Amino acid sequence: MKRAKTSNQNYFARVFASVLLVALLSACSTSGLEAIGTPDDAEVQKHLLIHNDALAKKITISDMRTRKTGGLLEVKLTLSNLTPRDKAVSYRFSWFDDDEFEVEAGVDGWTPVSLHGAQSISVQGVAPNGSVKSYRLNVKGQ
Amino acid sequence: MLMKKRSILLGLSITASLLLLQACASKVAYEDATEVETTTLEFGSTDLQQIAVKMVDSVLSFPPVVEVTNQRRPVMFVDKIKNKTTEHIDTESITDTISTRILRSGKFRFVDMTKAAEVREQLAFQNESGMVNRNTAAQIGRQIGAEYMMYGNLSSIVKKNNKVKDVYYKFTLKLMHLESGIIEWSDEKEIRKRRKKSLFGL
Repeated sequence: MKRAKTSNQNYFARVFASVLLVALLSACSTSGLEAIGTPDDAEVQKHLLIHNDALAKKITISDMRTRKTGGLLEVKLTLSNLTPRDKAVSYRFSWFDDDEFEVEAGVDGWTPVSLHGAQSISVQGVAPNGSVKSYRLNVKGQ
Repeated sequence: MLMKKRSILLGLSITASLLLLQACASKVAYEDATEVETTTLEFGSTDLQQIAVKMVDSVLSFPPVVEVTNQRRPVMFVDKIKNKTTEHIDTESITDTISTRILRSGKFRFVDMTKAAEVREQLAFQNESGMVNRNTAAQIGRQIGAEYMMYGNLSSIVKKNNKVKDVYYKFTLKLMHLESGIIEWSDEKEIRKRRKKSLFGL
């Protein structure tokens, strides 16, 4: 009888723990992947930060390219869905000048994209003005 | 040992019930204005931002436009966007966002036709009322004429059956050289949104 009671308690403790875990995980779902590019700086030209391992297993950013069009930095990146299922994500560009101050902060909105299973799409952005020297692309699950 | 387990259980249940209670209380909070918004199927802030970004990126990187804007900042005027959808959409808000972004890129300058009457009134006051020093009065007839006109359409196709409602928006924007009437640039942005009814029809 005593043993049955203890296993019952264990069961409830596990249920409560999983409820808490789900609540905590859902609070973390806003973070995602971050691709940072500084075309003029050879040392930190491109790098990728992963804030969400679960998302990084499903979505990846690759092929970061830049060029200048009429004095404006133009960026192209590839977003790939690594899973066989459709995946909805959103992305946002941020732009920085020579002193790493954000240019036109908060102007670009999150853009939703839907990726089919194993699909890759190219994501392109044009800097808001000629003072931009580096960029950041944030990707998060919806 | 049993007491310890009980106190852990008690703690957990209090936390869980607090979480549940929190979900029941209504509250007001500030949110990110650039966040993806999917409250309803109607035209929303995410659609507006997507359209503006696509159009501005496209016009600023189009090679013939780049060639024109490389040496000088041509003057543009923005005409109204024709709303051909069945919804009430503030298209002036779309053109405002687009023209602000283009202006802040430093590639074009703008004249505002919506303020022509007010400008005329102010110039008449400065030049004809006799109250303003002639040396400081802004001269009539010295405004710069627009070289380009931007105009466009927003149309939609709505389809629905018992389970699904599908909305397709198409935004078309054109840039015309006013003197020659030539369309220098044009682009489209398509947006598709779909709402599926859940199992219980909520």
